[in-house]
Amino acid sequence: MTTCTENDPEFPSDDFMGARIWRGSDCLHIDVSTLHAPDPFVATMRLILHPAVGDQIIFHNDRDPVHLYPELLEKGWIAEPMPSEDGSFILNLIRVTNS
Amino acid sequence: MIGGPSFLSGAESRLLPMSIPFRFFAAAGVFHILFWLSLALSAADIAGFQGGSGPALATIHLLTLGVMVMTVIGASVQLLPVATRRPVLAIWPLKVLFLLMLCGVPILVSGMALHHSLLMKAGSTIVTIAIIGYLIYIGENLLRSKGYQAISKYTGVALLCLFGLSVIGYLLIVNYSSGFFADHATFAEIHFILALFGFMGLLAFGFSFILIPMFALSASPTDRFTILLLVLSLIAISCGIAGALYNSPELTMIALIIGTGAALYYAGSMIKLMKGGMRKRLGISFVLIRFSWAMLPVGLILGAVFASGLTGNSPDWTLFGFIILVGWLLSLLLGIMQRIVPFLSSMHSSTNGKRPALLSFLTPERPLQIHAGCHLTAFAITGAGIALGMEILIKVGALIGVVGAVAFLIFIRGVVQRLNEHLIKD
Repeated sequence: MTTCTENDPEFPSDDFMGARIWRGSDCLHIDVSTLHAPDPFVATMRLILHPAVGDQIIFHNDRDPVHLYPELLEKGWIAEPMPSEDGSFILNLIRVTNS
Repeated sequence: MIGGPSFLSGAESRLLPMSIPFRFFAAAGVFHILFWLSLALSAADIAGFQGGSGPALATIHLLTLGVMVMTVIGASVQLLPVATRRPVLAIWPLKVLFLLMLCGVPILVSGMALHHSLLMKAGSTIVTIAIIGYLIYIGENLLRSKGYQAISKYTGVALLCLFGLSVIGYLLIVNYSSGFFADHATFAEIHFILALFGFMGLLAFGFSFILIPMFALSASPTDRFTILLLVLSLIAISCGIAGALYNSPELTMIALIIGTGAALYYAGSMIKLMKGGMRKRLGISFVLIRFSWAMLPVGLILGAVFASGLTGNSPDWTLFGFIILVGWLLSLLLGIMQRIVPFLSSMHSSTNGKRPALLSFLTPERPLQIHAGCHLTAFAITGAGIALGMEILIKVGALIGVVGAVAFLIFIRGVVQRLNEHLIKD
């Protein structure tokens, strides 16, 4: 996984509630672990609705985003848990339909 | 497998069992019908209500305790732990709490309706125990919360108000037979202020800072805004209480003017947030939510006019109470519930490796459309009936409200039914 401190210029932090968004070698990443509710939810949903987002996002958080799943599915995305070494919560978000 | 067994596996462990919030929602749905029915049956009492026990007081408490407190408990025990990042410690207290509310509220309102002192005392004792239990339960979660967000501040102050209003409410009931309060009406007024503006109002503000950005996909309000609004609200509530204690219409008017300022500041900020949101089509729930935002300042301005003495010596405070209770709080509560009931159901729809049910599948639209139409019509006709002192209008409006409340209960039942269909589907 590639990490960086600067947001991808296409996804300025201010538009995504201060979330860190960067392009890794695999796909787009979003880290919302420093945000308070409801910002992790809002930032992630705004990202998946962004026209330049593609079909896959790796989501990083320090807790399980319980309120995110229903809305993700409604927008045609699903989430798969990924292994994490530091106890953080990582999801592979995949677009399955164009909703 | 994409969307297969692993989906939501971690989330399920952080959620309360679905039956916990839904038992409160279902009970609130039934009390909602009973509220409008009671309003229709007590129309004569409502038209000239001046306080004291009787069918009008019972009707008000069917709404405040039966609908509002029930819903607040059901929603807050599920939503607050997510906001505070601290799971609840145990489930069983919520089951006990529910049973206490389910028994206590009907006993209390029956006692109020029948002027029966023993029933009122028994009911208020049970309800007070339930509310204190809720305070301890939620307070414990707040104290363990990470950080000190806006919702924690608002909920903390709202819970203090709930404690105050519960104690005063209990003493008011005892006072019907003991008579130790020299001025029953003054403490009834303080109870009213703490209940509507202190407890429900501050909770409504605090939860909207989480829920409105979630629904509209917008930025959260700034800390500066939330703190200023809290300060304004507390000044208004304090002035209102002082106005009641010192029997000062001037202080009451100051409270209402500051409250109006706070309400307009809040509504303006919410509208601004929504304009910056990515989701523009927000559905029928936002018809009610927007309506509620308008009704708060309308009610407060009307209250300020009454307090100024411009309308003569007998201002219609019942109309003020109706606009605040039904126009603002009930409309807001029902609008929010329309969103969170399918939302919470969807989070419970992925057992046995199933992909969660779509929100759109879980939301029966027709009952919501009927409900919204009936709710707004009932509000307008009943409000006109109260303003004009026309019993027949109150009755007609309230009966339309009954139809709307039945439609809302059908909506809740429909969500559960669709969830079950989803769960048994191969």
